[in-house]
Amino acid sequence: LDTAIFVDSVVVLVGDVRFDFAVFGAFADVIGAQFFPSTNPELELLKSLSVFGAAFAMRPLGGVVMGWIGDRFGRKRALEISIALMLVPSFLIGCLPTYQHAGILFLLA
Amino acid sequence: MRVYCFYLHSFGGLLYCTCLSGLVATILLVVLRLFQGLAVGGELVGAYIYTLEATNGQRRGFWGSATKASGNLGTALGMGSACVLRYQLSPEALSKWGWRVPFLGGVLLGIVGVWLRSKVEHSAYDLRLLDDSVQSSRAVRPKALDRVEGVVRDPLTDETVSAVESCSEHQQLCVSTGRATTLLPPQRKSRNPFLDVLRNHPEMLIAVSLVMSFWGCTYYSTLVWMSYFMSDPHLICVHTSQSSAAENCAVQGAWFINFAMNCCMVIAFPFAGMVGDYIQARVDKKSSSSYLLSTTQPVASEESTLELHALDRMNSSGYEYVMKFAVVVCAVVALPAFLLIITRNSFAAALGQLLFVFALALFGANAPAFLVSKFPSTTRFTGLGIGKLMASTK
Repeated sequence: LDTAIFVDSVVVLVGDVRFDFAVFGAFADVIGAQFFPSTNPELELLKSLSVFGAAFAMRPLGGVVMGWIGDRFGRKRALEISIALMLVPSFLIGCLPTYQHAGILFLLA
Repeated sequence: MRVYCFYLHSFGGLLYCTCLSGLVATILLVVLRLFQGLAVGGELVGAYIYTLEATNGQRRGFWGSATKASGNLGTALGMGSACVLRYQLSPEALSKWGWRVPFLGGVLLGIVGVWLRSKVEHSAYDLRLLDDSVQSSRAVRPKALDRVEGVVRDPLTDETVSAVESCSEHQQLCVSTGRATTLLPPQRKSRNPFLDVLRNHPEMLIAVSLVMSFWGCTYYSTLVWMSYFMSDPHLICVHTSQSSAAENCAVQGAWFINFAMNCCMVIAFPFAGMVGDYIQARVDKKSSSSYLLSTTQPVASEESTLELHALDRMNSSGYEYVMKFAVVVCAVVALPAFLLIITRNSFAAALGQLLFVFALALFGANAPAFLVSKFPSTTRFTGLGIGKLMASTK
């Protein structure tokens, strides 16, 4: 029974990490318009996709870094770091002021 | 405005102006996204290892495929939620606040996952690391001590190692088992797993990265980027003899078909994993060596002291047979599947993709069992991490 709960938790976490990762790709054009202002909408999509690609470049690197942590400090620790690195940025992206709003906020500050 | 910015900038030496501070938002987004990439890099491999170690290598095909399926399900849900929001919200609402909803919603799901995780035990390998740190007299969190009785249940640690001084620290454990406690000698983890892998298992690195890249190439080309191919008239109409109008040239409902096929994949995974488990059980039965049989029964031999986990002495040839079969099926199926897709009929295209789904599910579901058995516990995570680095896929 314990094993079942345990596997459930891993499954939920993996699903969530993938979910958060995929959402960005699925909204690439909308996010592009908000954060990469430009008169050329194709350029915005390109920029946003480049962010997506940057994440893909970071992925293999993440494999090695997490691998080191997992072998030296334990699997659980590695997965904890992994989920934190996904959840916190995901939350912050959800709260991020857009290009325009950031300008206004900084003027007020 | 430019003058104003320049004035502020040169005056205060600070970046407090609209033109630059707007960029701050963009830069923050990129940085956060980079962190996410780092997280996703280790998470799936880590989950395979964690799950298969926790289940002590039993029914590796099933548990491995369940883990992989959850990753695919997460991706499918992410795309699905984006679809729903796009259909339901006006473009203005979507760009104003709609895109934030799935990001914040994903956090809620994650909190549930973290809460569930906090209720479960450490993996067996982690327990060994904790034991090592006990022996090297480092502070152990009380939580770890609560859980440490998991060591005794592990079949590999049945032999007794003199650990009287550690026993006092593990009072709870000694009392509960009523016999000499098993604790592994210290220094069991690799000092430098990265060098260890490169030095001792270079051929395995190549094998593992080739398996990962086969999955990446076939899965992405047939079930992810295929939707672009199917929905873009410029791409798919090149392959048809008729020069019909661009509008009715593309496959109808290409995005939905892809979403549905990805869901089929998720459903097919556990069954494909069970097939692998069945074949592996047959192989184990045939094998004369009782050594390989011992997936459930503890073996108290001298050799087992050198192993950190039951997985270290399991073979995975049964899973390999299934994967080889799946590769052949992929090759056989490829041509008819593509011919079906370029008929541009929705049902035919779906059927074509479904052929790939079956072949790939057989491969992908048994890949975790294969991958995890290729490295010993001390370097397992790093080995698969480097394999991923070379293959650059999930």
